[in-house]
Amino acid sequence: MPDLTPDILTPITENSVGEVVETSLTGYIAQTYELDNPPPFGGLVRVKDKSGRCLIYGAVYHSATGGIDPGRRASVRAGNGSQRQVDEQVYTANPQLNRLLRTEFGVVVLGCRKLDENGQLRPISYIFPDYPPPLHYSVSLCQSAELIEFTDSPQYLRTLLRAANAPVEELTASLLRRGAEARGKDGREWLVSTGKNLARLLKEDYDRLRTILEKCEV
Amino acid sequence: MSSNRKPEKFLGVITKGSLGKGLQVRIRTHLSLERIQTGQFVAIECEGVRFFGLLTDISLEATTDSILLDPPDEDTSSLVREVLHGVFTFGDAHVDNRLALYEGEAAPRPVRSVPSHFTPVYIAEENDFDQVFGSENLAEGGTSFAIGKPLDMEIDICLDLEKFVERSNGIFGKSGTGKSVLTRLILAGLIRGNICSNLIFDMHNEYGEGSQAENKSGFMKGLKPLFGSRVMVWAVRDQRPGSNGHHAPARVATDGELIIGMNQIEVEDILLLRQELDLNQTAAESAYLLRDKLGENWISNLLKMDSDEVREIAERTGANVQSVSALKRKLEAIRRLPFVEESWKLTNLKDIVENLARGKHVIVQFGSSDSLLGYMLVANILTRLLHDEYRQKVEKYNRTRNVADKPRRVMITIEEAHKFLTPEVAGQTIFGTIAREMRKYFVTLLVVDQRPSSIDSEVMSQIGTRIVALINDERDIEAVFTGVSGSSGLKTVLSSLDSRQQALLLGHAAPMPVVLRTRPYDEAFYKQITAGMGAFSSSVSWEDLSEEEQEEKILEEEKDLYG
Repeated sequence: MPDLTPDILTPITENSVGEVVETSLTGYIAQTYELDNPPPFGGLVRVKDKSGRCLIYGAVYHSATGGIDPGRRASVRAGNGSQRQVDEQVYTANPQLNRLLRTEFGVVVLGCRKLDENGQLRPISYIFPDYPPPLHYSVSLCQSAELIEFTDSPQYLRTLLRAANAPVEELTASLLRRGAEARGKDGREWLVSTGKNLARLLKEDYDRLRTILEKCEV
Repeated sequence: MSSNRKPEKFLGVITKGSLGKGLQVRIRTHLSLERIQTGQFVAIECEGVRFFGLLTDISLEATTDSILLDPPDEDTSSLVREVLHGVFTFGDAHVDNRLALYEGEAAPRPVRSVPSHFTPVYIAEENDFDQVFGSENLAEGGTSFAIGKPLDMEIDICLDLEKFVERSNGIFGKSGTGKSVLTRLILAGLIRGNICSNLIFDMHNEYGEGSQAENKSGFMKGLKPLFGSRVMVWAVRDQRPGSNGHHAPARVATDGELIIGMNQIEVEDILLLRQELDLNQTAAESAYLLRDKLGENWISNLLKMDSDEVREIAERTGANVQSVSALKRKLEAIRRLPFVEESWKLTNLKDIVENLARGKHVIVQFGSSDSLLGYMLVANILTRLLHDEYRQKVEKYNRTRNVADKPRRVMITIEEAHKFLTPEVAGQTIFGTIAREMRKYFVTLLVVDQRPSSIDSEVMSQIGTRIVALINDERDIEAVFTGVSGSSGLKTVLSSLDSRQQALLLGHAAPMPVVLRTRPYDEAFYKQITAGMGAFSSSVSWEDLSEEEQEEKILEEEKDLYG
C-alpha cells in the first residue's frame, strides 16, 4: 500500500486542484484554483469528508470554463486591426479575466476509504460515503500509485456505468486508459482482465462494450 | 478426491450434461483453444469419486448473436477480441464420461452417475492412465499387454489379453494405416503371454518370416523369428509336382505343406466363393442337388462328365442344365489351383488342428498363389474342420467337466474378413457361425479388414474389442460402431486420427475408449517381448513340463542355439 498519510493530513498540497462548490452524495461540482487548470477528464480525484476520517474518491466527468455571472457570456477581447491579440496575448492584456471567469469540473463519486481507530488507512471500499463531500473542501488529483490501487479491483465499474449525466462510455474508456498507462508494461494485461470484467457487466450489450474497448486502445 | 493436479492441466468446469449424452465442459484453461485436441483422456475430480472420460468434441460458442453478426477486427492482438474470449465467446468441450473410480477402490467401474455442476475437469496425467489401463505384466505371467501410448504422454496403454480373447475382435482401418502392424503386435502379445493358440490365415505372407516395412525403414520381423518353435508355418502348395519340370523351392522354411482334396470341398465352400467364381445363385444352389446325388467326390465326378452326362444328371436331379454346366465350368478354376488334388486325406489339416489344441500357433501361408479364391477356400475348409473338432471337444468337456479336457482357446486371424462375412454369406459360412456363437466353443475370430461396412451387421454387433485406425468412409465408420453405445462422439474422434500409427481402442478388453499411438514394432519391441522367455521346441506345452524338465529344456535349447 503506498504511503499516502502525509498527503492526506496536509489540507492543501501540490495535487490540490480545486474546491467543492456544489455537493451531493453521488457527485459534486468543484471550481479550480486556477483558471483553465482543471484535473483531466477521467482523472481520479479525492476529497476528505467533514470528520476527516474518510476519503471520497470520484472520477472527473465534466469540466467547463465560463463567466462568474451565469447570465452573462464572455465576449471577444481580441481588439481591432493592428492591435489584434490572439490566444495567450488576450489574457496578458486583460489580467482581470482571471477574476471574471471561472473553471468548474464535475465529479462522479465511485467509492471511499476510511481511517481506522489508529489513523491507519483501510483498503478502498467501493461504496458511497456516509456523507457527501463538504462544500469548500479541497479536491486533490490522485497520482499513479493511488490510481493503481483504486483500479485494482473492478468493482467501481458498475457504479461508473450507471452514472447519471455523464458520458459513461467515454468516461470509462478514459479511466481505463489512465489505469493502463499508470501500470506501464503491465498495463495491457490489466486492461484485458478489467475488460473482461466490464464484458461481464455488459453481457447484454455487446455494442456498448465494443465502443468502450475500442476507445481504450488509442 | 484428493488431488495434486498441475494447474496447467486444468481444462474447465462442467456446466451441463447427462449420462446418456455426455458432459458439457466450459473451457477455462489458459491454453488457447487451438491446443486442446479431441481424443484426449480427461479426469473429473469430485468429492470421493474420480471420473474418467474422453474428450470427443469442441465447439465454439457465443453468448449473443450480435457478436457473431459484428465480429471484432481480424487483428489477433485486438483488445476487443482478447476481452471477448472467455466472456462473450468461449469454447465448450464435450466429454464422454466412461468410468468412475470411487475412493478406496482399486479399479474404476463404468459410470452410473454424473459429476455435479462446476466440477473441475483436468487433462489426464500419467497417474490416471496408470489407474485405468494398468501397466504391462506379460513377462511376469500377467495378461496386460501394452499396445501403445497416449497422444501426448509417454506411458503405456494396456489391453487385457485374457478379456480380449473371450470375444471375437476386429482391427479395422483404411489400407496403409497400420492394420498389419497392430495385428502383429497383438499376436505377439498373445503368443508371449501364452493366452491362446492362434491360427493365422496369412494372405500376404507377412506374419511368418516378416515383411518389408512400408516406410522403407527396414524389415519387420515375423512371428516365427520371434517365437521360434512356438509358431508353426504351414504353406499351401505353390506348384504342382512335375510342372515346369521341377519343384519350385519353398520361399520360407515351413513346417508342412497344405494340400486340399476336392473331396473335402463342401457346397458351403462353393457358396462362399460364389462371387469369386462368378456363379449365379441358381448354379450355386444346384451344387446341393449334385452333392446329394454324387456324394463326397461330387466335384471330381462332375468335372469328369461330358456334356451328355451333364444333361443326364441335371435331368435326374431336377437341376437346370445350364446351371449345372455353368457350375462345372467354374469349378475348373478350383481344380487348377496348385494345391488342389482330386482326392486327399485330411491328415495334414487334422495335424494343424491338433497342434493348435496342444498350444502351438499356426500360420497358414499362401505363397505365390495369393489369389483370393485359394485363400478363401483353404481358410474356410480348415476353419470348418477346426469348428467340428472343437465342437466335439467342448461337448466332451461339458460331459466330463474334467479340467484336462478343457479345450485350449483358439483365435483365428483372418484378413479381408469382409469376403467371408458379407450379409449374403455370413449366415452360411463357418466364420459367420464362429463370430456369432463360437465364443462358447473356445474359438474366436480376429477380424482384420478395411471395409467393415461390408461385414454383416449381426457379426459386427458381436465384435468384442475393436481397434480402429483411420477410416474416412461414412458407411465404414457407421459399421465400426455397430453395437457400441454412445458412439456419436467417438465418430468425431475417429475421423480426426492421423493416417499412421494412431488408433482408437474400444470395447470389451479396454476399460474405456482411448486414442493411442501404436507401439512401434521394432528392435526394441522384439527385445521387450522376448525378454525372459524360455525357448520352446517340443510339441508338449511348456506348462506341462515339471520344473526339472523345464531346466533341462532351456539348457538343451541354449546348446542348440549357440553350439
